[in-house]
Order: sequence, then structure tokens, then C-alpha cells
Amino acid sequence: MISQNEGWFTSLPPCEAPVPCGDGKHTVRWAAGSFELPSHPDTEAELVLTALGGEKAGCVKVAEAWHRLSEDLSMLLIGPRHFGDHTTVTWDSVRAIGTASGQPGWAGVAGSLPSTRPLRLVGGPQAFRQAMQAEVDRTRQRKTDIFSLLALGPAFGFRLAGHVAAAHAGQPAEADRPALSAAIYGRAALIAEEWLGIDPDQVEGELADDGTWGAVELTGKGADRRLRIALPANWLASVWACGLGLVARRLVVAVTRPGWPDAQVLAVRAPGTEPIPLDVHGIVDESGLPHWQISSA
Amino acid sequence: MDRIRAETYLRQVAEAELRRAMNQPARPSPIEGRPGAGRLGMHSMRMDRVAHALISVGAVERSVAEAVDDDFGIALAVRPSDQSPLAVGRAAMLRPRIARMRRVRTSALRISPAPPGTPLGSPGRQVPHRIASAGTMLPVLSADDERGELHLLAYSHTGADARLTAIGRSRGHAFHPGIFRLERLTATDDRGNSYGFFFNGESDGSEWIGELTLRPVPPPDIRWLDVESGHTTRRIDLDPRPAPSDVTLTRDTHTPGEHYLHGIAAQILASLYTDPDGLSRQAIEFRPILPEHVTRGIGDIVAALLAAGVLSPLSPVPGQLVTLCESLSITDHGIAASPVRDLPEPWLSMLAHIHRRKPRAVPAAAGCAGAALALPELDGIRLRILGLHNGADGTVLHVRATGVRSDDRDATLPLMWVRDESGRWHTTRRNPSGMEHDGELSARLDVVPPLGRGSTIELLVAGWSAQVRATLPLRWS
Repeated sequence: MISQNEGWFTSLPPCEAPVPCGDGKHTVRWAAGSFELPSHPDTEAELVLTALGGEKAGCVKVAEAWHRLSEDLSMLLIGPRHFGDHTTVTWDSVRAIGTASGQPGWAGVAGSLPSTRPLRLVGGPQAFRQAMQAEVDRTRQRKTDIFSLLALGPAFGFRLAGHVAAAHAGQPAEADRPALSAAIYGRAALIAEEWLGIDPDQVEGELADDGTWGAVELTGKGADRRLRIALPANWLASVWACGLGLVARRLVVAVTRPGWPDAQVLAVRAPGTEPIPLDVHGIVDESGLPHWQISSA
Repeated sequence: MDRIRAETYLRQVAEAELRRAMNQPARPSPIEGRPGAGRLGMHSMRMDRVAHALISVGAVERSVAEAVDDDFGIALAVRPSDQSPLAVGRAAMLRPRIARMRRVRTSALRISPAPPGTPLGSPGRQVPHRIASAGTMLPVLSADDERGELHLLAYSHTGADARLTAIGRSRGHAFHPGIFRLERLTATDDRGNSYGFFFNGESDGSEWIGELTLRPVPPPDIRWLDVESGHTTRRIDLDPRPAPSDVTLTRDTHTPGEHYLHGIAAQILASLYTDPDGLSRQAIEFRPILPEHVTRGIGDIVAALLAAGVLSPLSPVPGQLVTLCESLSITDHGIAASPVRDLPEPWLSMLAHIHRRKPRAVPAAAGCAGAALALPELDGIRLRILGLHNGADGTVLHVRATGVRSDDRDATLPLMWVRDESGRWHTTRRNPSGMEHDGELSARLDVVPPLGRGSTIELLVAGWSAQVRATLPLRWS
């Protein structure tokens, strides 16, 4: 009944974004869970040329970043929370990270970086230098990856979060549960604000076991009012990342029949009530974000 | 202890902080500081407070908290938010007042007459730790015959070195070890071995606080040490003495969470005292309004400790903290507990003193007191008390800690309360200055309010695993 993690993206339309590549711009595309490079039909051959000393294409770099981060739970903390959650990252700022200094133009965008954490090392000066350089390179690569994917825009941001969540849903490892639980809390609190007008600080979100739809309970009054929302990890992928969190003032808790543009979901009208099936129909806006409405109740 | 719930709570705080930053750009940002503003240097004071609490009680690894904060920092940085000069200015105000007196570090000059060669003690062998109270004053002269005083508080032979805790003072010149030629000090032990000294410490002008390290390292079992300044010799008796009669250790007095909250109470009480003229903490007054970072959001910390399972929902301490806050008109604590009437004795004593509004009841009593006491291990840390002095910094207790993680100079030491001879309690706060040798940490604890000149003090030293009560005799020089 409940949708599985495989195919969570069935309820999402394709999306596209321009990427600086060579002297111009190419389009990269996401469709049915795949990151595609329409302008580079033979990516493997290009990688061989790169290994022989050629410059790696901008599109290929972004695709590699996508694959490096598509299971990285950090992206749930860094990435978007709602459709209006835009970042200030541009391709200029991405380029600035990739330069030798890495700083011009970058500091204004992310003054908190790079990390100020002390590096703890053992070994002689040579080992220390090598380790320092490796750490600097690793940090810069990671920043470049993160900012490249943010520069693709929110449509890709939602889809990336979906991939990350799906990779860890099912039977989440103990170590992954805090990040998943907080990701549900952060997103569900904002949806609850729109749904019930409740202060997000009065929302308590947590991870429910997969295989159940979870629970939504409202207790107390006034300042003591609390909304407890427990949802499984796959909700992040199959519901939230597909833009299905709130449809026609109903909280969607699961997708029972994924699809685009028509799907069936389980939704609750009010806290404390059991979810009921709902047929929904989606349209996509110009940025690639889906918007849903009830097709029949 | 539930580490998963603890990390979850920290991450939920990050979510809430990010939400505020996104939604309220026109209002003063809750992101109060840039990295470095809090004790952990995190991107929000609220995150910093919660992370510090959870790390301190062992519920979250520091590396995990730092990784969460790194991601949180990126999330903040890539979104338009109110990183205005207002927020930056507030961050500057929150930075620790590290150099209240602009101390100048002086270090490692050397010595005569003994060459720094083979130690007289057996090299490489683990030496049993040994401490002894000194409590003596050695007159010293500068090159132009200015008189100075070198107060020797305690002898300690721990780890690889033996040292004397010392305070230097002068009435005319600023006391600088070079000016008063401390390099000419010598020492002789009961076996006729001769020693010179390395010294290091900090000076604020008229007062120098530091350590004299003996070279070569003396044998562990010498009976006395004569310290000579050229024209005067003072003997320090190192013979083992009967241990203080009443050192008692009580286990399981508090949970880690309760212990952390007691630390917050101590911080609040210590923050009430201030020195308005900035010259001497003997001229102490009460602060009318406590700094926001001391009082705001204590409820977050209580909630984090509850989530981590290191604080029982039935614990009285959150309610006691509410009583403490409300009796000091602190309204932004955010603790969701009802006040309770029974307060711990030290809190009650300090509250009574504060409410009597007699901050200057303690007369200025400059002086140095020798003292030496090894406390039982608390939370893996061994503290040794190595003297006390009243001076420009108020009352300062000198301690050496072993067992502190070598990569964590800001580690939380066991919490220390001091009871004077009149029965009044004082709290302590860690002075930012301090020195580290071979994995040992020398620290100074400011005693607040300052102590008068008594012959003994009682110490209540609390960790999360146990607490120790001990009487400490003082030998004033």
C-alpha cells in the first residue's frame, strides 16, 4: 500500500537547468531519477579524454557532484525547505571556489567558510603538509560540489534531497536517524504552519518506523499547544521532495499510487484523524517545481 | 544516555535557527554571532549553548557537533539573511573578555647555576605526584635596588617537572621577572643538590603570576628546598605531612545533566559581580542586568539534557534554577519547570549575600597563601590546589589538573565552591589564563566574591560522578 523507496520519483516531472560548459552554456536534465547530460551523449569517451589531459566539461563536473552528494545527508540540512527557499548561489560564486585562491567573490556568499576546525594530525612536517593539502583539496572539492548543485536551482534541490532521503530510508542506520528525524521536523514544521497556522516552534517532528504512515496529534491550548508529527523517512522522498506535503489544506502522509501528473496519496484533514486516499493532479511551474490539486475526493 | 536523541535535538535546534533566519530577516537575527562568539565558536549562540551542554555531558561527540555546525553554517551562508552590522556588533560584545588586564606573557628564561643536563631524578621513570604548601615570601631586588616580593605558594612535583607556584609583586616598578632578575634565583635541597629555575607566567604590571620550574629535575624524595635570592634564603619543607583531616568523597550525588545545570547556576551567580572601575575586583559591585548570553535560553539546555537522558524529568535542579533566576529577576531563562523552594546551600548563601546588597563587605586584603591539597579523582580529572592569592584579580585559586584531554584546553573542570570561615559560600569561575605542560593544565579560578584572610577554607568540588568536600589550611605569607 505504502510506496517503496524505489520509484519514489515517479511523482515528479523532468526538470532542466543551464550550466556553464566550455565557452557557453549547456542544459542538464533530471528525469525519472536520472541526471542527464543531453549535450554530452558520450560522457565516457569525454572522461577518457579528460584522463589524457583534456579539460573536464562543466556539465560532467556537475554530474559527478550530483553522484557524489546524492546520498550525503548533509544536503538535507543545507538544501531547500520549501518552494520559496531560494539560495544566493550563482555560477560566478561556484567559479570563485574553483580558482586557486578560492576566496574572491566567495566570501560574500559564504563568509563562514572554510571550516575553522583544527586539524589533528600525527607525523612529521612532510606528512602534516600533505595532510593539510589533502584536507584543503577535499574541502574545496566538497564546497564546489555543494555550490554547483545549489546553483542548479530549487527544482534540482528538491530532487537531490529526495535521492538522499531515499538512499537512507527503509531501515535507517542508527547513525542516520538524527539527520533524517531533524529533516522531517524542519520540513513538517513549515508545512504545519501553513496547514494549521501553528507556530513552527510548537511542532515536534520525529521519525516513524517505515511501514506505517506515522502519527499527527495536537495537544494543549494557547502557548502550550503542541503538534506532534511522526513520519517515516520515505515521506521525505516520496511526498515532500515531490511537492506533495500539503495539498488542498490536507497533510499528505504517504503516496499510495505514484505517478505524474496523476497520483493517489494518503492525507489527513486534521490532526488526530486517520488518513484517507486522495486522487491528485499535478502541474509544473516554469522552474520545474510541481504543484498539486485534488482531482477527486 | 541516549546519544541518538541528543544529536537529534541538536539538529532540530539547527532547523529552528535556520527557520528563524529565513523567516525574520528584518528583525534582529537570532544568529547572534559569527564563529567564535560562543564557547565552541558555532554559527548561532543557541546552537553553541546546546552543543556545549551535550558535549560536556558526553552525549554528543565534539566532531559530530562540529559537522552539524559546518553544514548549518553553509545553509545559513547560502541564504539571504540579516547578517547585518547589528548582528556582527552583538557578536563582538559577546566575545569572552579574555584580557581584562592585558596580561603579558613572560616565559622561559634561564638560569644558573646548575646546567640543564641529566635530571637528578631518574629520567623516564614515572614519579609519584607530590605537592607541598610553601606559604613564604622571598624579597627580591631589581638592578636599581627596587624592592620586590616573590611569594612562593606551593611546591608540586607532577609529571616530568617540579615547580613552585609564585606571585611576584613590587610597589614601584612593574614586576617583571627580568627586571627582578629571577634568573639569579637558586635552590639547594637537603642532599646538597643545586638547582636553577625556568620561569613562565603572566604580568599585568605590578603583579606577576607564574611558575618557577626547577632545573634539573630534583629527586622525588627530597625533604626540603632552600630557595635563595642572593641575600635571603627561605626553606620550603617538603616532608610528607598528615593529610587534611576531612576530605570526604560522595559518589552519585548528581546526574551529568544536573551537574551541568549547577555549573550554569555558578556562572549566573559569578556574573552578578563586576568591577566597575576595571582596576580591582576588590572594589566589586553588582551588575544590574546580566548579560543575555548567560541567562537566555537555559530552557534549551534543560530540554537538550532531558532529550539526551542525562537529566531525569523528576530532577529538582531545573526547578531550583527557575527559583534562582526568578529571584534575580531573570525572565528569559525559558525553563519549563515550576520553581521549588529548597535550594542547594551554596546558591542560597550567595543569594542571601546578593540580596543584602553588601558587595563591599569583604575588605581588600592583599596577600598570598600557601596551600597544597590533592583531591580525589573526579570524572577522570585530578585537581591539585596549589595556593591562593588576593590581588588585583581579586581572589585567585591556583590549581593543576591532570586527566584533561590534551586537545581540549577549554575542558570543563569540576565545579568548585568555596566556604569561608564565616560560613558564607563563594563560587569560582575559570580565568581564561593558564598554562599547559606535558598534558597537565595549570588553571586559575577566580573566587567570587573575593575571600577575606582566614586560616582555612572549605572546598566543595563537584563532578558528575561524585563530589568532594575538603578543608584547606592556608599559610599566609
